[in-house]
Amino acid sequence: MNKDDNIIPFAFKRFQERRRNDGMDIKSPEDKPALDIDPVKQNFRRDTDPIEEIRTFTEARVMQERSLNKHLMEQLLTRPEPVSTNEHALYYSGIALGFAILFAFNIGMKF
Amino acid sequence: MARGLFFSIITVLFWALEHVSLKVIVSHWPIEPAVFVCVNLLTASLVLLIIAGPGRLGLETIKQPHTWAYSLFSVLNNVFFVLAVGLISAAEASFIWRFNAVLTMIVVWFFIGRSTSVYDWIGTLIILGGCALIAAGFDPQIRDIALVIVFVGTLSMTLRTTVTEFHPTSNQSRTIKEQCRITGYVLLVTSAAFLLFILGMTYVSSSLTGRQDVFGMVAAYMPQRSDFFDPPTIWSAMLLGAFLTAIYNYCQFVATRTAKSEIFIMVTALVPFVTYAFELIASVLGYAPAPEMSTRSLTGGCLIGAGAIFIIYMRFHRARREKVTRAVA
Repeated sequence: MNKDDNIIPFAFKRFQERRRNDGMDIKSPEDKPALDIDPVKQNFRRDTDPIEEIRTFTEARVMQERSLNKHLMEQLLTRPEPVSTNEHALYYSGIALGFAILFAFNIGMKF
Repeated sequence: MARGLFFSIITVLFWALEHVSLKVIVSHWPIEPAVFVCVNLLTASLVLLIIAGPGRLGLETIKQPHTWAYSLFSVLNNVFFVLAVGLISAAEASFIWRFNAVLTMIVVWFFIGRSTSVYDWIGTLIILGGCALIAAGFDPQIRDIALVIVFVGTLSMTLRTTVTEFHPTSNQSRTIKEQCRITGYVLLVTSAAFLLFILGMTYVSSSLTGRQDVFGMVAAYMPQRSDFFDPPTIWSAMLLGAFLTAIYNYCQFVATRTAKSEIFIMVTALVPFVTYAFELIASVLGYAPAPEMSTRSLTGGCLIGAGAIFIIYMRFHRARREKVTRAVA
């Protein structure tokens, strides 16, 4: 295809002339000066290392899991357990024996 | 190790606080030591059991031979300490009782097979030197019998601490309540055994009083029937048992499990010094007479304290170095 066959520059030229007649100066994109953008100054570069980001994310997930595990373990340890009758009997007879001895000492003071 | 050291220090603080409270009480009312120990342990056990409530490991604790061995060694330790105080001063007894640090090192190295470093033995030798210095100051007439009493008493204490470290149900405990329950049951058994022992000895000693032999000497230190109903003895024992003995016994069980026997015993070697500091505070506040200590006892005590601190420092230093080496590797 010949360059002159391209209708876009031709159409743009007509469009430009018409706008100029209206008092507007339209420039083609090729004639516009390029924007003076420094990618470093504009902070286009990544602030963080992606590997570091992944590591941080993974560590956060690990900590989250650990805390969940800890919570579950605490729940497991502090769950109400069925206490056998023997354990109950031993506990209350031990307490009763202890208090009986202490009361005996205290009551004995009066005599 | 840091956790064990923390609990050992708490044990020492509460132990010393109990000694000072006892001194304050004794300066106002005479109390009977054997009855005091018995009621004190009983109250502490009740407090711990009430905190813990019924639950697992109770029956197993009672069935464990370790629990009964603990009771036996506790009774022996208390009896021989009372006998020692009858022959030597309380301050001397308090210091020379730290001979248990030497025995503990030998027990954990020879019988348990735990690794020891050259620094442990240097510290042990310093402690032994302190004990020898105090023993050299004993009256020659009672020295032999006093040394035998000190040896048996400190051996009982060493074995009690070792039994505590290897107590199976104590090592199985996972929560504070479980540890309270186990300690409570152990103390209940100990106080009951001790009560039976002193009741028996009171009954026997009533017929031995006045004799000029060793039985007569032992009978002189046994409680009378009226001592079991002495209000200051009973009430002070109940008060201190509830607020101090319960706490330090709980901490003792946790400390021996986490820091091991030798470190616990080394930290408790500082009890006389902490007691001395608290006594000074109490005397300044006017609650108790100023503490008295001979230069020999103080020098021996300083050697014992220095040896114990040396061992603790070197152990802590080594543990930290190993941690750093592991982290680097």
